[in-house]
Parts: sequence; structure tokens; C-alpha cells
Amino acid sequence: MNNLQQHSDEELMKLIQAHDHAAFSELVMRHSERFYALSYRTLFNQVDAEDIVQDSFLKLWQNPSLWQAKRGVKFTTWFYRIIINACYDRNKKKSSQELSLNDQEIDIAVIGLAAIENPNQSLSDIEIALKALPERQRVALNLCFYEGLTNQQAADVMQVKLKALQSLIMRAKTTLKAQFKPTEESHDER
Amino acid sequence: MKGNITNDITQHDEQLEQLLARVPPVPCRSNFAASIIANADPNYHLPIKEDSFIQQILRSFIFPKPAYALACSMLIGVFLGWQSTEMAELTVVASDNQTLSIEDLSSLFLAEVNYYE
Repeated sequence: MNNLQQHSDEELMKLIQAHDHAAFSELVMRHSERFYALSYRTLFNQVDAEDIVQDSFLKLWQNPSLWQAKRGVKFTTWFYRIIINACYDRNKKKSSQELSLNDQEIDIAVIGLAAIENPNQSLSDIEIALKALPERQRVALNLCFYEGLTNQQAADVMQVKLKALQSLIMRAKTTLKAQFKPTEESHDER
Repeated sequence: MKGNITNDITQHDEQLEQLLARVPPVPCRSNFAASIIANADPNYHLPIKEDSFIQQILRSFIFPKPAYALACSMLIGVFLGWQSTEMAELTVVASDNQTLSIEDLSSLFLAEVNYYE
């Protein structure tokens, strides 16, 4: 019996191009949660995140020739790119409807966000801070921190140069640090 | 002095990473992958897990809202009441028939008595 679990993603893609549904099932089982996690952390909306992952996989099934092995791109790198672009598109559509985050940013500053010193700080504040980051900074942080990609891999996914990616991550971290920095009083106590 | 600042930055980075690590993703629905596979091929049947099967059965029991329950019980009451009126009429008819038959019997009895006398 042909054990699909032992096949690489690229081998599965070749089978999918031959319209092998079992190979498609294996690929979906293997990666759907990972792509969902990225999609969710980019959009912070469960329904939208699931929609994007589902639509992307269905497009892949309907048109598997979109992926070309000759280009030498790993399947995951290529599919991360598709998911991210779909998230960008979704955000563009929603941007006109969403409220400005300026008010939320002020709220974050008021809260003080001394979460580093207070481990019981609710997670929602952190999520709000991540959501308030510019889209590309958030994606760069997601890829490198949550998805565990190297800077070079993340740069490939985002189709930017390595230095540009490092700059995005640096700016994201600086923004977060500024928001979550310990209060000045705690420094004085030292 | 410079070493202290570097240590502070490193420590701050670690603290930030610890903070970021505390953000868990919202889990997608349990049959998410299976639903994608099913959407791709309509012939594919979703595997039913024991837990979800039991949950589906439990969900199939719909508890009525009080207003609906009241309305239904009133309708049933009216229906039964209407039926019992019909039954009462039938009983009356039946009892009438029975009365007639008793009269017949009594007349027979009287005829018999007269015969012996």
C-alpha cells in the first residue's frame, strides 16, 4: 500500500496534479492547522481565517498546476505566500468598514501595559497590541516567531530582502516593547 | 555601562518573547480539515467521531420554549376535549341502546311471569 504520510509535500503536489484526492487529503490534514494559525494571527478573526485557508486549498485542488516544482520553491513557502496575500486582500476589503485603531492605541498607552511585570495580564491586551501593528510588521513577526521560519525563509515568503525583513521585525518589536515596557516606577525601585 | 544596556535590551527581548509566547491561537473547528477535503470532493464522507456523533444526537433533541409548550398543550387539550365530547355522545347513544334492550328484557320477563301465572 502506498503510504502517503511518508511523501514529501512536493511529492504530494505531483500526485494532486494527477488529481489524486487522497494526496490532497493528506496535504490538507498535514498543513491546515498551521496555515489557519498564520491566517488567524494576521486577521484576528476565526471565520475569516478559516474561509481563507479553505478557499486557498480549494483553489489549489481545482487548479493544481498553479504550483510549479521547476521553480524550486518549497510548497509551504509558496502556500504561506498565497495565504498572506489572501489575508492582505481580505483586510483591504474590510479596511473601509473597520474603525480606526487610534482610539485603541490611546487605550493601550493608558493601561500602561506593564504586562511583562504582571504575568496575569489578560491576553487580549497583547492581542490588541499585535493587531495594532502595521500589517507587514505583524506578518513578519508571525512568520519568524510563531511559525518558526528563519529570517531568510520569512523574507522569501514575503518576497522582500533579508534586511527589509529584519527591519520589519525590529520595528514591530520596538513598537511592542514601547507599549509593554515596565513602568518607570519599577525602574526607580532598582 | 555599555554592557548593562546590552543586558537590559537582551532581557527585554526575552521578556517580550515570553509575552508573545503566551498568545495561543484560537483553535479551528475540530473537523476543519475534513470539511475542506469534503468540499473538494462531494463523494468524500466526513468521518464521524464518537464524541461528535453523541453531540449530534443530543442536539437533535429540541427542548420547546415555554410559550410553544403552553400553546401545544392547549391545542392538545382542545383536541382531547372535542374528542371526549364525541365519546360522551357515543356513550349516551350506547346507553340509550342499552336502556332499550333492558326494556325489552323486562318486557320479556313480564311475559314469562304472565305465562307461568
